[in-house]
Amino acid sequence: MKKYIAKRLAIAVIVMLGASLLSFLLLYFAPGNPAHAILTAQLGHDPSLEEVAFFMMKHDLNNPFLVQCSQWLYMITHLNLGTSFRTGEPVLMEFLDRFPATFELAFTSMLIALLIAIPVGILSALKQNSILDHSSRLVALCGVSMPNFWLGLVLIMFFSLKLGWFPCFGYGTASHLVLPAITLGTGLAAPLMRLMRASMLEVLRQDYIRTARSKGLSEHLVMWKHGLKNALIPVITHMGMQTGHLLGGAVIVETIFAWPGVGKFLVDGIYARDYPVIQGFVLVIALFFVLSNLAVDILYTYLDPRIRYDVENKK
Amino acid sequence: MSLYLKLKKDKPAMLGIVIIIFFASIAVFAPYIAPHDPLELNLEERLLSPSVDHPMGTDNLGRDVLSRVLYGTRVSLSMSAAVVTIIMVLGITIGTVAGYFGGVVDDVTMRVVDVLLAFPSIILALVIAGLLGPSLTNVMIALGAIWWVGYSRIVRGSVLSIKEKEFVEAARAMGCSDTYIIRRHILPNVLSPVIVLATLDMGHIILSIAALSFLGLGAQPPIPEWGAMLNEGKPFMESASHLMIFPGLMIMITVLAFNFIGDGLRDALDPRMQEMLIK
Amino acid sequence: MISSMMMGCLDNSNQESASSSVQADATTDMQQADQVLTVGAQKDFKSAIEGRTLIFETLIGVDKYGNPLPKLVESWDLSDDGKIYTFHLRKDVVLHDGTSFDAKVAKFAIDMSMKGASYKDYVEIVKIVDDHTLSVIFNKYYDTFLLDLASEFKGKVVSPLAVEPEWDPNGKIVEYVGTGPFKLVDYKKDQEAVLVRNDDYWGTKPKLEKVIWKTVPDPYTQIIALKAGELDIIGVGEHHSSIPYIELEKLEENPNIDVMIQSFGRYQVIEFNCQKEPFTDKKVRSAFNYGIDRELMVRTVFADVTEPSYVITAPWFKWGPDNIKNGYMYDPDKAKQLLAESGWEDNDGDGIREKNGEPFVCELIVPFGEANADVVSVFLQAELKKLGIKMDILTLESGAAGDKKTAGEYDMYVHHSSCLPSSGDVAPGGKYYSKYTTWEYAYHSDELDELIETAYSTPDDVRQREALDQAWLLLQDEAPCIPLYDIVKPVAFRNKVHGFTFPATMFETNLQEIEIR
Repeated sequence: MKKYIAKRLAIAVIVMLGASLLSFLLLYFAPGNPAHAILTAQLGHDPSLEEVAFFMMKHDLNNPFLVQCSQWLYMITHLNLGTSFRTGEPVLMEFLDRFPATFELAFTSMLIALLIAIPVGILSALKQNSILDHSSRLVALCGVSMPNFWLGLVLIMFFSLKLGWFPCFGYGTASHLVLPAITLGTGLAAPLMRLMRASMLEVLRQDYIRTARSKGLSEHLVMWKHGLKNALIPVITHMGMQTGHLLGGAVIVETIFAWPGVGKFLVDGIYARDYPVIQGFVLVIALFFVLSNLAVDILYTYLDPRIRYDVENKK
Repeated sequence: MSLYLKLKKDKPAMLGIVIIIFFASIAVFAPYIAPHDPLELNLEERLLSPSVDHPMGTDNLGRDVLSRVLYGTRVSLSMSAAVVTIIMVLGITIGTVAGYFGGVVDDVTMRVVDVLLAFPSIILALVIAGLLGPSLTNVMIALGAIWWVGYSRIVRGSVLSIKEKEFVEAARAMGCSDTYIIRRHILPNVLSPVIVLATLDMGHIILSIAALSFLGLGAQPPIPEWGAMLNEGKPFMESASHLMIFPGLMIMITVLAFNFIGDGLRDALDPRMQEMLIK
Repeated sequence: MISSMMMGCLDNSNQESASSSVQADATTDMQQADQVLTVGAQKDFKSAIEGRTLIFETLIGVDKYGNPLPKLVESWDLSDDGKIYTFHLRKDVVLHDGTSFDAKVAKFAIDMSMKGASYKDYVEIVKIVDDHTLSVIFNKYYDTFLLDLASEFKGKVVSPLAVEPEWDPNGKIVEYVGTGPFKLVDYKKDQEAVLVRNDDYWGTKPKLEKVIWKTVPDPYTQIIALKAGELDIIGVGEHHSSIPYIELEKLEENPNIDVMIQSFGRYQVIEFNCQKEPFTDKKVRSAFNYGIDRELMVRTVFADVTEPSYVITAPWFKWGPDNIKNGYMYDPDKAKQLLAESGWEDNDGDGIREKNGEPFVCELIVPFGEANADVVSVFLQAELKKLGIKMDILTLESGAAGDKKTAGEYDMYVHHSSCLPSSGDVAPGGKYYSKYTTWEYAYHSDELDELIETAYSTPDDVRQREALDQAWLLLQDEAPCIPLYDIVKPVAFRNKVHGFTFPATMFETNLQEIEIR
């Protein structure tokens, strides 16, 4: 097991180096330069050629490709992501200051999704082809088919404007969290629910369930002890794979609900061509993504005793 | 064939197919169906509520929303079709080359795939589209450049298994060229899982295009694209909610139709392919 | 049952408190309402220039016409040759950290302002005369120095101890310590900043005790939050205001909300590439100017909130074109005639004019995020179509758009005229002066350069005005751009907010007079 984790970590490091190179190349070859947008915001008027030249020099943007590339790699390997063109703050700080908000949103959305998906999924599986099964399928598909920004706006319209139940923006209290988390969680719940149903059906057909039943164990015990645990495995894997989508969705939800998270800052950084922020954020998000997938894989082995990575070497 | 028969029994999936065919014909015949010119301004008739003359009302520049929504079908469907085509071509080409030739080519491409998979796709698409500048073409490029990765994995996997099959060995023994083998034996076998996967992904792609357009990165005015229409209508959400409701519903119905088909396909697939797609 | 009892209780207590407070009403009125103002702004407090002006002040002030005013500098003298400015500083000013504001701090502020400024080459020395007197010696007359110091972007007075390294004009501002009416006490990135009244403020002390600056990026969310009472005031935190013009009518109808609108003399304009066919032709540029019904645009698209503009910049600026009597009023026949005169005619009847077999097709570049530009460009497209011109719209990310501008790869470009305190642009000096390299492909001529140089080389107001008048006449005749409308700034607030007034520039925030009642 340890060997497996070490191997996966080693691969993760290689992937991250590749990813940082990619994020550098992306910006190097992108058309346009950052001086215009950033200087206009700083000076309050269009920059002159002289001012642009000064900016380019100050930020080493005129250096030849290989020099810039090695500067970037040097910084990365020394855990230095540079400073934002706009705020002058270290990029890593900008990320860490905003990450808790994004995490809170993502975590709550995931929780909401699971709270909907697991019970409904189980019920659908137990009462296969009932009205409940069909209607939950329909609702789930509708949920996943709605653009989440649209859902967010509709929720604001009804719950903050018409009914006044929840604040329409802001961060801090639980009531601020409700609308953004529902917006983000809805799209997530649907596939999880379908997956839960499918894997529950699959598990119920397995031999060990039949054995357990034939041994005369109560239906509840069979369900909870054997059924649920095994049926959860694909759901958890899927959740791990969803972290990326969650972050992507968070970008839009954060903008609509003024949520002070990572996504919004990144989008603003993209518009303003804040190169260090784009490079750094993309890299840290990738790292987070890789690690969460790794964590899921490890969790997987605990949940399913049949999987042993240190034994399995064929793949 | 059995897939088709199974699918035929799945009512939602059939409904999905009917809806898509219906929308596709709207897209083709938009100029004949649309009651007004979708680009024509009529500043004296701005923000009208739905009426007989304008069944979906008018927008802030007095353009007929129904006509824009109908033309929007054209933009959205052709855009997503184009993205899917890019993805399939890239995915199949790269996956086949990697799987068939193996060795260094395979190693290098798979490492690139690993790296790309390390990024959440929509964020990378956002960065690419944002850097290239806002336009439909750039959104297409951004989504295409990212989405092929998963496809190439699947293609590579199935190429690896087909490569070992007797008929391929036989063809090689008979001295057939690589291109011939790929074209005659490999591609036909690879195509069907890819097409199934593409159907499953269509909904996602439409939503991604709409999301990027909503952020202002996709279709630019005056192009009637649904996501862009939502973005333009947002300021009027309260006073003229029809500007938000109709394009939003169109997106939802289209995506729903694709999801019906995808859901049906998944149920109808034989387990072998199912396993391949899940991995 | 229970509810009616509770109602009874409430009624009683209300009556009691009402009767007891009757006499004290007038005096306790102030105390009853918390003097706290919640501001909704699109940008984070530290990223918004409007937020910073609550904390940092400039040495020199400015009025809305462009006349410099005393601020932290109480008075100034200019030597006869125009080369030496002597500043007499206020003596009663203390920075938020207790440092007293003296000539050293003021010199530090001027040194900081010169960092990227164009005038650093003209300054010979900044000399401290005594504790409260400072002189700046130039090697030649530099006309807009006072306005540069009045600019919130450049000329702010920062505590030298809040800079890292301390007293280094090239250092980084690490803490927000200035002389302004409010002090920053709490700041959370992208969320909120809490400011309290600076009780030692040298000027009129604000009535507000506390200002909470909330970051709400989405304009639509801002409006809902204002209606719901979660925000007290919106629109003050952005140069161009976050409130869409079209929403103002509905906000005004709301009994709890008041709206105020102010012009800062900044117009939205379409710049021509005057070095590229067919826009090298003055007749074509004039035709575009005559052919657009700005009146219709303002009345419909902008709900009559603003005014159409027919001259390049606001005539009421100190250096403005008030000598121009006839702007480009809507005259489609004249536009068509001008186009025909310069050889553009629709001979094949396809609705698009041609010249030498080439159809009149041009491209408008819209930098992403430019205010109202999406609607304006679609409107323009429709108007030009009526003249027989096909205009394509190309929206570009602002960096890419800037590159196209620099390289001259554009026909038309959505932009705006400049406003205070960027002095050089309010007068014709900015875009159209060939040595000022922001717009190389805009209209330039030797004659104009000469007039601009004359205007800026003299402290003599009469001579300056003469040269400017000629420059404006020349520019109006050459039609280097299409001025469209005045980008007015609307501000909306809950009606408990009293005494809001607009500052002189669109970058400043003025909350001093506000009182919550």
